[in-house]
Amino acid sequence: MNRRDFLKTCGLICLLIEGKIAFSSSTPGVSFKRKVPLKREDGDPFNIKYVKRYEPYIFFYPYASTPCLLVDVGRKAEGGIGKGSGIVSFSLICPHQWTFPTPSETFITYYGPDETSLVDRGNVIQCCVHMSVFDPLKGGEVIDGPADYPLARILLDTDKEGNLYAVGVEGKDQFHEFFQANRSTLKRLYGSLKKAKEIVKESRVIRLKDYTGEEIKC
Amino acid sequence: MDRRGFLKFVGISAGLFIGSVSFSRDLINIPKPSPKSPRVVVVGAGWSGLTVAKYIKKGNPSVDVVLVDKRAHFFSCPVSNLWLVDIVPLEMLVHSYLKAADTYGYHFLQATVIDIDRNKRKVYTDKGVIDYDFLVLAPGIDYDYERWNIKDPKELEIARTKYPPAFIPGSEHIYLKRKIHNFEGGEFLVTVPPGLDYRCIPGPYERATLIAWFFKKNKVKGKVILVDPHSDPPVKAKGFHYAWDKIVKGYIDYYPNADIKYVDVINRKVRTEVYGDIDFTDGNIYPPCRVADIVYKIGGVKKGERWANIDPLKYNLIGDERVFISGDARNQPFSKSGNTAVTEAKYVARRVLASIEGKDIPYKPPMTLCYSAVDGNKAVWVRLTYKYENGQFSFASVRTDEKPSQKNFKAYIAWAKAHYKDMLAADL
Ligand SMILES: Cc1cc2nc3c(=O)[nH]c(=O)nc-3n(C[C@H](O)[C@H](O)[C@H](O)COP(=O)(O)OP(=O)(O)OC[C@H]3O[C@@H](n4cnc5c(N)ncnc54)[C@H](O)[C@@H]3O)c2cc1C
Ligand code: FES
Repeated sequence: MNRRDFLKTCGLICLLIEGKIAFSSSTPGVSFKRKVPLKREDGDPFNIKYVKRYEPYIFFYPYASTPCLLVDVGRKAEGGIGKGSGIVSFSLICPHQWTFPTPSETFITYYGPDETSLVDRGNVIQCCVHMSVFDPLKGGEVIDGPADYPLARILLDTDKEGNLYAVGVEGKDQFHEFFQANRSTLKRLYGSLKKAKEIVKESRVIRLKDYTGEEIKC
Repeated sequence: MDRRGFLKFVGISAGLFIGSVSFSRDLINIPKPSPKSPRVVVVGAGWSGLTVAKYIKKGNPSVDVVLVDKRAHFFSCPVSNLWLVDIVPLEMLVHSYLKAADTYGYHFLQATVIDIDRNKRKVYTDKGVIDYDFLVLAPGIDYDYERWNIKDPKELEIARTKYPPAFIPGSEHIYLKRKIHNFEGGEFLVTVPPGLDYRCIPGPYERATLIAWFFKKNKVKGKVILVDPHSDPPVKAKGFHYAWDKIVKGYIDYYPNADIKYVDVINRKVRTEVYGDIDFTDGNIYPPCRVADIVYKIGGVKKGERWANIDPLKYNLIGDERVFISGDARNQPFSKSGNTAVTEAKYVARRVLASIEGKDIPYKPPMTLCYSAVDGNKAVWVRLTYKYENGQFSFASVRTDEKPSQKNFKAYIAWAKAHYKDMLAADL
């Protein structure tokens, strides 16, 4: 039974615990649900075993232009999946003023455990545009800076073979504001806003450093 | 007319109606979401007022929000130093108020606020009268030439016109740009106001550095003379000194501890105790600052002070729960910067929304993040957070990167663009 069927069967107030993620369709703030397979660049399924510890990956979900971060934070994290429950995913749109990674550069990225940040620790997600810092170990909550909301969480799932799926968005997503604020950039990158807003059927996962020209850290 | 004269002329008691100033007494008919919608009038569509208006409307769309500014369009002070020397185009700084109002659903009224009757809750403008339930004043700053003994009307006019400070956006910047570009040699003066309560603490240092960089790049046989009452730049000192020693050496002379007594704008001399008279060929005279006139006019400044008399945590004018004052006009000792103004404005918006509902909210201090460019593609930054304890504000944290770098410069541009998108729905 796939997740959507399962949820249908359980009804709305159903808590699913698969040892990987706890997911309830009644969880406040599940703003989007759609199961989408994650793929490698060559089109094969992206298996959970490909996720290298501390390496930030990017994929686009639920829209063609809305980037998500996938990372193994190397220790148990809230909502984490995988062996050590450290694989997490977040919408990589800064909830402060909707900065996002582009092919030329990214100001928002993951900092590994040995890197330093504005909060004097690693294992954070930081946006250098106005210096908001988020905690990937605690569901993307704001540790410091002007952001009023946590990063929206991308809910993940795996099949029996360990192939990864994005299944939903939880928390206050910023998609409306993102499209409003970045209209011109998105038109330039995708040809039209309509294309940027297309809902994806599958999504390629690549290393963030291979997607963007420069990771700007502060 | 100096400030005292001005105040004598208009009177300073709250709600005083000035018959001698001509304006329409007709009520401006602005449609409300519903007849019962409370109305918030926001005066000043700068960094603070734009953010307050947007976030009140976003927080409660049934509130009627009217944003009033005397300007027809937005002109950004932040990043304008880069535009002065052709590093960024004008399109980056100038934006439409109409796009913001249309996108965020509030009213924009281009009008000059002439007076406010706080008893009747009316705002008098040159276009007519607007009723309010709550009022937010975010009118920014004005200049206080008197403190440098520039009092004589003729000298005042020369100072304002011939050597515009360009710390209030618009015409001043446009003329200053022409001066920099037409400068053929000699000493180009840039002054720094005393204390820390002037708009944009690193602003004059960034400007002086970039003008020197422009002179060097264009082989102008002149230099910048930076006359500063401080012993060193109060922020980013290492970054600026690095630039003066390594990037623009020979194109800038720094005069620290210059206790400016008087600027003789007729004979082009800055009178200081330490250096005597410093001659200049042309320049940019940035005098001390004070709150914008309208706040004096409504009795919002305590005698002998220069900033709005407000509750430091609640932002309401002392004695008036319906009038809030935010942005550079405030009296709290935060750095007067755009970033401070917008982070604070989100809190002020929440406060106004809570007041409408008769509620209170916990205090949240603002944040300052300020970049300065030191040449065409490098910048430094400082980040300040604040806390309020035992009746006093202090820094909760101070972070700085004073090593000029290209990544900081890119972040500077991204910082500004993201703010314009948020405040103004700017297409960038
Ligand atoms: C050259 C320069 C560089 C700067 N660089 C930076 C920087 O890099 N980073 C940073 O964070 N900050 C910077 N600042 C500071 C920043 O611009 C100010 O702190 C910010 O603009 C304050 O916002 P405000 O809304 O209080 O005032 P303003 O933005 O000045 O807005 C006030 C508005 O009120 C209107 N107004 C006033 N009186 C009336 C009236 N009676 N009727 C109608 N309308 C009225 C004015 O027209 C104006 O539009 C810089 C400033 C300058 C000048
Ligand atoms: S856009 Fe990320 S901190 Fe402002």
